[in-house]
Amino acid sequence: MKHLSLTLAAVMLLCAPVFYFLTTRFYAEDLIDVVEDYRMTGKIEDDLDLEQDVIEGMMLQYILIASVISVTVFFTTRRLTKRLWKTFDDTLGKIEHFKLGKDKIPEFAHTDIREFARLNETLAKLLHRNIDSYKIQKEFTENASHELQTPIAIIRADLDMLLQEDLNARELKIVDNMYDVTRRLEQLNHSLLLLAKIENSQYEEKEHIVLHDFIQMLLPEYAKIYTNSITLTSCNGLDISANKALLETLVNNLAINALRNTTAGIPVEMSINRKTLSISNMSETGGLDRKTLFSRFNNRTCNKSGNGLGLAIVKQICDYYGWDITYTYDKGRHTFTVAFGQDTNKKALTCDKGKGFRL
Amino acid sequence: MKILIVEDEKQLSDNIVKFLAADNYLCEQTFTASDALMRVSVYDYDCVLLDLMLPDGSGLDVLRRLKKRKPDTGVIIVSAKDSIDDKIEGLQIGADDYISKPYNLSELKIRIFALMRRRYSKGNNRLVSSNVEVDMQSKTVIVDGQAVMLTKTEYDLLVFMICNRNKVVSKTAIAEHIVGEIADLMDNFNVVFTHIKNLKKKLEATGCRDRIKTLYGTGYKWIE
Repeated sequence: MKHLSLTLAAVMLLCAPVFYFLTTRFYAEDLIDVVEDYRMTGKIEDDLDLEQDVIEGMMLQYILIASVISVTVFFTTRRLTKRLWKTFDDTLGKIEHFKLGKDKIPEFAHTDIREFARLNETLAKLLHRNIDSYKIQKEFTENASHELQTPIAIIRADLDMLLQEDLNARELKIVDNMYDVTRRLEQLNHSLLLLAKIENSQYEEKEHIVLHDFIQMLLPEYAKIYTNSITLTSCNGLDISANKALLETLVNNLAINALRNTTAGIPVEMSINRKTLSISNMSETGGLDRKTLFSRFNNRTCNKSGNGLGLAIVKQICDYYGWDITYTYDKGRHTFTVAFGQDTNKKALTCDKGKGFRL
Repeated sequence: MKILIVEDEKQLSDNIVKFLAADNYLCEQTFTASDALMRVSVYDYDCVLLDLMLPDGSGLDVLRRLKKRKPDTGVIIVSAKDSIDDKIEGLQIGADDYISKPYNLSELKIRIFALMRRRYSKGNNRLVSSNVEVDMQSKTVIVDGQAVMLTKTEYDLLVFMICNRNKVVSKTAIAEHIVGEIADLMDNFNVVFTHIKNLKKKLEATGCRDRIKTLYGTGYKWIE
């Protein structure tokens, strides 16, 4: 309000000469003539229409004053609102770009407006609480998984001891089941821990890896446990920078997922292209639901053997590096494609399609 | 052979002692880092099994002090499966081997066996179980004077079985021993069944019968 009245007064003051000019030169000019005539000749002319002059004059004054006031009000309020909402816009922009788990709490600009100050304060508190609970949750997963490892180790050793006893077939069956369950527990625990560690960014160490050679090294491992084969076609030279352990987990999970689900006898196809790695397998099951495919524990209908975390881990690793993972389905062929982002080096652009490797 | 087991979980430690006791291993237990430090400075051990996560400190500190005073002691470090950094650091300080928790007792036994063999065998590289003789230097197997041709996996399996003689080894332990870490991703134990079957067949062909006893697909036992 203060701003408004001050500006208005200033503008009015500045406009005063214009008013004066208009008054003297335009509608009051007849009046001046009359007075001057009277002074010179001592009489007044009859044919004067002062009424019309007065009306015109008043109209003019009104219009002028009204337009000066409205123009002033318009510009001041516009400026004022801009200034008023500046802090709000600033806050809004900061929370719009805020990502939980990646960013620190933004510094909100100082403001004298009480409501916005309160808003900023509340937002900061809210974000603090969010970050805290996020941290606690992450740490909890990691700690819980860590702590679980010891009891699992104890159970395993106990089972090993139990197995030394003279057990009959029925008892052995029970021990066998317990071994299986412990193994599952272990895998689950391991996967959860891995997820937590990726979220906590504990895999920062990176190195340059030539994808083709890397996968070539992993293939014999798969051959140890799966009879289905993998063919690898590659255009050499895709080299990416990533953490070795994470990349291995990514490739392992995708490869094992394909090996598990492929129709017996039909090899899984892996191909490395200029910037992508795709792994595809044939399977009689129809296309998978893209919405739940990568969520945790959600995708177990087609895959009873996994623990429901394999693809979630793949997704997490891709997200961590900003890689893109897509799933396509075409007439019985399921394909997962990882598109490596800017981290990739395009060394060789020539694709040597004929070069295939077979296990 | 004198072994010091540094492990804060008593139950686990007890089981290790019981499992190893049958093979003339003399085991001592300790549950804290400070006690472990005291013991290694006073007594001599052939092998120390060292858990890295101890209630009163890191096993790595124990390892450092131990290696400074008695660099000849064999050390196997036990770490959680995911802490690769600890493993690497442990090996750099001078540990001889590492094993990830949770492990199978039979796997632990072969690690200790391998370490003892490397350190103390002094040219004696033969592993003998009645009429089966394994030359661990040239990796050849001889049954009743007749050479048996085994694949690498079958050879590993045989050594694993003989090393755990008269003990039942679970198929999980066998799987993890012969395929390594990728065993985590296995859906079934066909690999184990296949290799056991092939090994049995090859041994039987040379007249070495009924050495490997199958316990309803749960585990296997090498009978001496």
